[in-house]
Amino acid sequence: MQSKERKLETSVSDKKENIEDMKKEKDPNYWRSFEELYAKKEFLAEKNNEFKDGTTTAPVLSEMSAFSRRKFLALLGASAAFAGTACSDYYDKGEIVPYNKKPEEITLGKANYYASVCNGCSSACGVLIKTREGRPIKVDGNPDHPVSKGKICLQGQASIMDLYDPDRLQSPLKKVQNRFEETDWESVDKQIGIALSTIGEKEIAIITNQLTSPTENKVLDEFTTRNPTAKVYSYEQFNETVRNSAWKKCCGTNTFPLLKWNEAKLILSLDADFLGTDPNRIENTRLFAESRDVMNKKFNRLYVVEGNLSLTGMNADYRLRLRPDVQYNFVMSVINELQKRDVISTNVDASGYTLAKMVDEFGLSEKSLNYLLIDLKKNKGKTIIYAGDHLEEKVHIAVNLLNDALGNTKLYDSQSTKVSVRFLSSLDDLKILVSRISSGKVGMVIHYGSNPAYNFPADLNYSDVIKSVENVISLTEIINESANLSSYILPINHTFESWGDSKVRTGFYALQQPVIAPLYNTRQKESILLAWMMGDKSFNESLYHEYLISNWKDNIYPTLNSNIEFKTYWYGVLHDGVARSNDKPDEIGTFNYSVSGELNSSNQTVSGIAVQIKESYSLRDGRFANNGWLQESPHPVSKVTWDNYAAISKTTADKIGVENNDLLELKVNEKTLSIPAFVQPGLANDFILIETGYGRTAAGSVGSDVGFNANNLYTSTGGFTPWLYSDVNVNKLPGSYKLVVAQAIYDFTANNKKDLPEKRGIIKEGTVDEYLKDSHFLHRNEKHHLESVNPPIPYEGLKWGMSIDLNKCLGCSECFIACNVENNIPIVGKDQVEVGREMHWLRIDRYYSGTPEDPQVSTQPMLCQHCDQAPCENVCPVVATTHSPDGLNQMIYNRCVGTRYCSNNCPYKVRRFNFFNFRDHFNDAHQESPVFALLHNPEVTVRSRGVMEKCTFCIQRIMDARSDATKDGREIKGSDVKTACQEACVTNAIQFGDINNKQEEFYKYRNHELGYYVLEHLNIRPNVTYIAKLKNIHPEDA
Amino acid sequence: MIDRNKFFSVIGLGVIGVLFAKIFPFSFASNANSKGKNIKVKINPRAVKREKVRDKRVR
Repeated sequence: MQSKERKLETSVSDKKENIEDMKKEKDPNYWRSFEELYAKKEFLAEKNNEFKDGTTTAPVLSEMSAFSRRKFLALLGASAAFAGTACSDYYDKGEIVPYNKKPEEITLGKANYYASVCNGCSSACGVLIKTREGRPIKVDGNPDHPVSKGKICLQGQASIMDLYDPDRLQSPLKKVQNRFEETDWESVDKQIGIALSTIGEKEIAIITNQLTSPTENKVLDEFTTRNPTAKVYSYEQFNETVRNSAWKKCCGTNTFPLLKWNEAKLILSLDADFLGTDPNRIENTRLFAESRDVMNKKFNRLYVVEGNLSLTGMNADYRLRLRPDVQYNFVMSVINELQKRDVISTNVDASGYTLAKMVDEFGLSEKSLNYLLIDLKKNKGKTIIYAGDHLEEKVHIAVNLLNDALGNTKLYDSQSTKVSVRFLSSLDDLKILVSRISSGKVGMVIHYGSNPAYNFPADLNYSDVIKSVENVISLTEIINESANLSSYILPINHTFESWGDSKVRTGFYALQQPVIAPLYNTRQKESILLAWMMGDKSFNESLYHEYLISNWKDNIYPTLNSNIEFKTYWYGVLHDGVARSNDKPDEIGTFNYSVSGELNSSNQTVSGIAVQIKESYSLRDGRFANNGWLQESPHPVSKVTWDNYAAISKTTADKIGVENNDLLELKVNEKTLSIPAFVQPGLANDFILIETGYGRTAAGSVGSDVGFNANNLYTSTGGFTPWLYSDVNVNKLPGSYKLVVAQAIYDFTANNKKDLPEKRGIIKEGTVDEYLKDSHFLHRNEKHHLESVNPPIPYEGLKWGMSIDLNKCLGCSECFIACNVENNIPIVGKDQVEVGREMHWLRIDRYYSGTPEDPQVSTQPMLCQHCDQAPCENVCPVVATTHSPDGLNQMIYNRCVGTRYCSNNCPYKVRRFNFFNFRDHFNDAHQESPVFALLHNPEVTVRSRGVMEKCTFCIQRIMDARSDATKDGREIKGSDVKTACQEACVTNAIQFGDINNKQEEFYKYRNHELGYYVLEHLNIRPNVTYIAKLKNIHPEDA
Repeated sequence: MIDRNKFFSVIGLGVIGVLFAKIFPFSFASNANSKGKNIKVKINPRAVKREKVRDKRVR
């Protein structure tokens, strides 16, 4: 007893010392939240629990009502009868009937692949759609597409869920006395035909998102020719208009050039999240990672000057916090300093701006600024300076000038450029449209796949104004805010059910083909317009298909100079997904120095709090709100799921008196928004960032009423740009709102001891300089000698393993979504994420180190490590988890009885337990809808309640490759298999293969000098190697 | 104590209840999302399939 008390005393005093230590230390090393950093009591108590409160809570019997024996038996009898009835068809999934006449292209059990185009955003990436027995089940990038090169974004990966969304409209609807009633296409065509012919002088406004298809654009052109009062408005809430207009002023061409990120030695990002939310992020990321290559000892250096802690900022070598509304002062100060040091010479008088002033006013690190100036001088002609889309035009002009003066124009890509088949309408165009609607000059509005009621600037009051228009027609897949204001809602095909083409760059076209016939009574949006043009009963299923072929034959094919006859060429392009063209970009103009007159020489003064509205990492501008996988995807930086929030720095939060979850009220231009605060390490002071895409009132049963509508603050005037506001009125409101952070749950750093992630070998890092001086520096001081009571098991043949290069891993979550899609991971909902029951097999852990003001960030994908001496296997009482001869830690679902001992004993906390049948449990069995069953990968078991699950290293892909090898009469090789996460990783950070095969590329990764195992001292021999991250900082700064 | 007659009455009524419930027009197993029609998957015959990698036709 005494010794127990003594132990307790010691641990308490240890803890106190520990806390004191942390307070004293300027650099408290790795931490993941403020609660952890400041060692809050509740947090420490929670950390001592194996599971988060609520995860394993059993019902409290004393709180349950008392039952009489008679009542109990009566209810038991009744419930047995009802359960018998209810479950009578539980296993009846219909009859399985073999094909009477098997389609020629299908081989049962083998997947088919089709090249197509993703229409999720204006990037129009080339995709490769995997289908099984006619059902699309997985989307990846088309390896032959010149931009995406086999990779797509997480929205593209998750878009497969939208095809099978049970909320999709199944037939046309017409508003009758404020209610929507089902109608048929014939009467819709007839009535709208009459409305079009009697429109007279009134305008027909077609509001679309950015168009990428030349043939679709032709349809719209023909529609406007046939209906002379028709006008097309093309709109994207987040766009590059400011950057492009600045470029036009500087160099005369319409579009900012593409950049050679892979050739840049130095990158200076000014509030630009070019790896996170930039429209061209997939290509940017791929090229950027090419220059972060430990294998070839090639390292770029990234400086990020930003207000928000962005995905790009997380990966910076040097990061400076600066509110975005003073970025102009910053660029001008850099120009001034470089001019003073004779590094550049321009006609701009920037003498009013000094970096010393920036240091004084905004606390920028003088040392880092000095390094920046040295690096800019040293890397003339090898640097990219890039500013965020939301910054004002003069920042972009100054950046273009600086790039030109430093000779960085060499890194502008002269071989290819972006192409717009139709330029976006300006905000002034939209204002004119709204005023014409208000004055009764518009007779018909067609929402052509767009949602202006949600995405238009709030000051245009579109939702109110549109009510006065007689004919409002929404062409949409799911009822949205704009559709609710319409007289007709016409359901359109999903991308995977549609024909089309795209032209986003010079040098090639891409073709889009439907891989499945429409699931419902829907039409392709182009064919709806064609049918209206051609009159009654002109619609047939191949209307747009024929139109597309004819446009290609007459207009596009002749320009391609192909010597193959058209039909063969057409099928060839459909097969490949891409057609090369000979069009060349306009020459990049020379910089017009007279534009520097627009750069004023006096300092821009700012006051109060600045607010930026940013596109969401997962939901983008809100168009992906009904996708549960994306809603449940943790934010790459904050790890918050199912919500947006006002990110605020610790200092500013203290000033206003708010903590996490407290409600804030923000007022901009008489527009108000109430939103919970989230204290974000690394944010600039006096600055708030809000991501939009949330707060949808009509997005479907998953996405409606999730989060807060930041577009309430988004206005066409009154800010620096529509996305950035200064001097915002911010007040604390009474009450709070619970935000759920996924990261806090699966914590395997045990008790809160200082520097634990490093001491336990979870995170190992170094600098490029250290590595170049001594490539074995990482393991130089390791003294441990590992012994095991278990004799090692020999794996002489093929043995699977994975390596993850943390230099290339940006924490973007592409791998995470790909894993969800491949492995039939269910959505569990916010309430279940809150108690730690999310089902993700792969998570991206994010660690901060340093101070809360200027933290360094490290990310680490964490998945089952398939340990040779797996601790989970020893404790399973029913041998449900075992080891395969090729080194895989396997789960036998139908043997698992759900003791959860394995999860308890897993040091990495990567096992997931089905506390419910989550498909049934979430959102009134949204995922049990019959159409949802089509989404499932038939090669992966759909797990039910009471079963443990975890990463399998995509065993189904291994088996598929093994079957192919057997068919070919050869042994399976490690390189035959690509896991879903590996295939999706844009930077190729993930490698998979045979640990024992010295001939394979993978062997180099597995045995790299920077490779380490997480929690290596446990000696459980994991099969996932992490390649330690190197910061490319100045040697004297290390 | 439940007597023999009552016991068999309950069993009998239970069986009748189950049979009745079987022909009852509403399904107890269903929910708002399981009322959907059976979806028929139809492959688009005009789509052109390809291999996943190294399969390029037009050069």
